[in-house]
Amino acid sequence: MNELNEIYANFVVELRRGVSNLVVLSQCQQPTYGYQLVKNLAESGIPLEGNTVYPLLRRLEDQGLLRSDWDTSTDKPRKYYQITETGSQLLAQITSYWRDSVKNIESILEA
Amino acid sequence: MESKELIKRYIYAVTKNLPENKRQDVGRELQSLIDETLAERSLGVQPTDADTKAVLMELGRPAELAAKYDPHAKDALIGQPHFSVYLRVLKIVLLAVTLGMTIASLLEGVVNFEGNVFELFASVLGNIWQGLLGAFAWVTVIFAILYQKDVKLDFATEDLDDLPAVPEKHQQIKLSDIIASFIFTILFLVLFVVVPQVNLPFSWQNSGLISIFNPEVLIRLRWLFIAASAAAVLNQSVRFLTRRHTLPVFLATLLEVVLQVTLLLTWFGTPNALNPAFVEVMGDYAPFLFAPAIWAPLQWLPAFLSRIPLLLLIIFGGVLLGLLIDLIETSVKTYLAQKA
Repeated sequence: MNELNEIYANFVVELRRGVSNLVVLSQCQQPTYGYQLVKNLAESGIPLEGNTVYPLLRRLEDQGLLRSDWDTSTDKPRKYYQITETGSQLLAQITSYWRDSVKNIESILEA
Repeated sequence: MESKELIKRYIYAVTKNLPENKRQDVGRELQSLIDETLAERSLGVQPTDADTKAVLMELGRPAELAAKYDPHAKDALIGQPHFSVYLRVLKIVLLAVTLGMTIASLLEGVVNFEGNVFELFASVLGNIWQGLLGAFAWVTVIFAILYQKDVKLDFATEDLDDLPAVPEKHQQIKLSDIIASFIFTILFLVLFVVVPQVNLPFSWQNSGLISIFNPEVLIRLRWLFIAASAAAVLNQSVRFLTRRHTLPVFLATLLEVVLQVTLLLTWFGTPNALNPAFVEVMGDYAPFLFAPAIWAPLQWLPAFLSRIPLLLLIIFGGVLLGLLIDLIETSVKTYLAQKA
């Protein structure tokens, strides 16, 4: 039984890894910072942890899909991320790919 | 430990191996994440050290978090697609080194034989083991670098339209040919560079074993021998990776031939290239072989060549002929393959 749990856990990790890019990119259409993002996702039932989200934000920035600015006007400095033009284009493509995939997978799961 | 110090150490542990330009920014961002999580958990009260520990534990082990920040980090010394090639090359190299070292150290052992068979075997086995360890280390280091630096191992393009045609059987370079010349190169390298005092042992009537070539000259020209052998290994590697006649194969062959000819001319042109002891033993039986080749039929040769003893000149002629045939064959096959 333990072994099955482990396989299940791995399965979930793999699935989540695949969609975390899409999820994070989609949440950066307004300027947002890491901690807020983690909280929002958790509230929406998508528990992505900080140690996944923070490196991911940075990777998306390195790829030119996000840009960032430090807000130091308050006593809590925060790094805000926002989607770029390229990022928006990619998001649109991936979103439509995601919708098609979900529809198709759903239909074979139903059958 | 105090919370502040603990956080400082944690952030340092995560960021210390990141690229210089990212270190400070990642550290600052982590600090802001940790501060905010703590502030929310403790609801405005000063967070305890236990709170801090819990938050850091959730973030995970520093090394694992650092790895997530480094997407290009490779988690293997040699991964695919290099690993398959590495295994094949390693097998061939270890086989060739075993053969080469066995022959060379048997020769050395027999030349320096002092009557103890056990010692002879021990030294032969010791040499083979040393050779295998060295070969393993070199092949592994080279492939680790190739893998880590993403060096492509085939000369083909990624473009599907440019994929080369499947070569006919006769157009392929046979693996057995490549392995044979590799074993020969290893043997050559071991005899003339590793044990130059042995080189090619020769025995005539009751002279005992004498090496044919002068060890001092071999030692002086060591780097030229190494360069020529390296060119040979390069040629064999290119052939191994392409397995067909292409421009790189032709260029590698050309380079090898040029270096081999340079080596032979420099080596044989050196006075006393032959072992004086060998000349002494053989000089009485076949004096003409050791005289400079200035006799009538060869007077058309350039002066430089005519100073070389006839024996060496014959060897040079033979090797040169072999190299030229090899080069011409490669040129023709490359030309035909390019045209096809």
